Amino acid sequence: MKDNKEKNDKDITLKSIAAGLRSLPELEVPGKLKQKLFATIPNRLTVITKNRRLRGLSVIWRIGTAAAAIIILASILLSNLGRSTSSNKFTVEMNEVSKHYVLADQNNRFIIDSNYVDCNGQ
Amino acid sequence: MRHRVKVNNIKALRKGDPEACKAVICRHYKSIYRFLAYLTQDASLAEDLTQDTFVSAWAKIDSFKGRALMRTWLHKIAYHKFIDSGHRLKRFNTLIDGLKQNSRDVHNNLNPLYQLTLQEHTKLLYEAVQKLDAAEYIVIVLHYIQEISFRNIAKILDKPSGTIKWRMNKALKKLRKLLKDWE
Repeated sequence: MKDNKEKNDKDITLKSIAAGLRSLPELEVPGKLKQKLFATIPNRLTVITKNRRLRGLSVIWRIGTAAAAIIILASILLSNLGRSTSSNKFTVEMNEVSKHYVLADQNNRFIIDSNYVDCNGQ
Repeated sequence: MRHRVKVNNIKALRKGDPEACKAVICRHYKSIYRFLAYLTQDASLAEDLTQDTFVSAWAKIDSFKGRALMRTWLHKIAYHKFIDSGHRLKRFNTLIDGLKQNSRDVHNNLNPLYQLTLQEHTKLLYEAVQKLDAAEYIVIVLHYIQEISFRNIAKILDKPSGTIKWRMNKALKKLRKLLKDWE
């Protein structure tokens, strides 16, 4: 009961403060301020020209970005394509002793064919 | 219909339509001026910054997408103009002299003794608000004097809403301590 009363007192005080702040008198605004602000309104033609110029720059920037992205993508694709075709090359070496055919690819990774054929038929 | 009117206004502003610009000025200039006056405590500086605010608004009108209220957007520009001016938040010295009893003040017709008491309470309240720190003071001014919601204050000050509410509560509690004799 006592806690509720204290709580109510606190609420009333905060509310009173809030109400007091809201009811503070307004500051007086200088009479000529409005006219001064009207003078800040830009010339309509200047605004339209500026907007057109900005829009033009925006279009150029977009085209340039798109072109750069295409060039980068194309170069990546071409470099990957070149790498994949060259990896298919392999050399065949014949081992003079065992007559194993050893396949080796471009990166010198040796693939040994277990199903070799001995020149002597063994 | 309301949304269409609003979108047309923004389009008109971007095209530099003078009538649209004048409408914005008429609607918001007093609020912006008062906000800057509270921050600067200097009438002529507040006037200059108000002009700078609107000049900046016309220059940046393309960046205004209409998602926020025009009022919120202008207050944000005004706040940044104040910050950029390099002036520190001043305390009430002459502000109280600039107050006026306007036509909306319902206490005008009350007896002189009550008016005197009311003026004393007002002075006490101003003195108490003067003792708040800068962050709390700005939130009090924006919410209670400029009547801006917490959400929009958060946009103006670039702070989370929770921070704004916390500052508000802290400010009110501080004011309550200072105003013990008011009730």
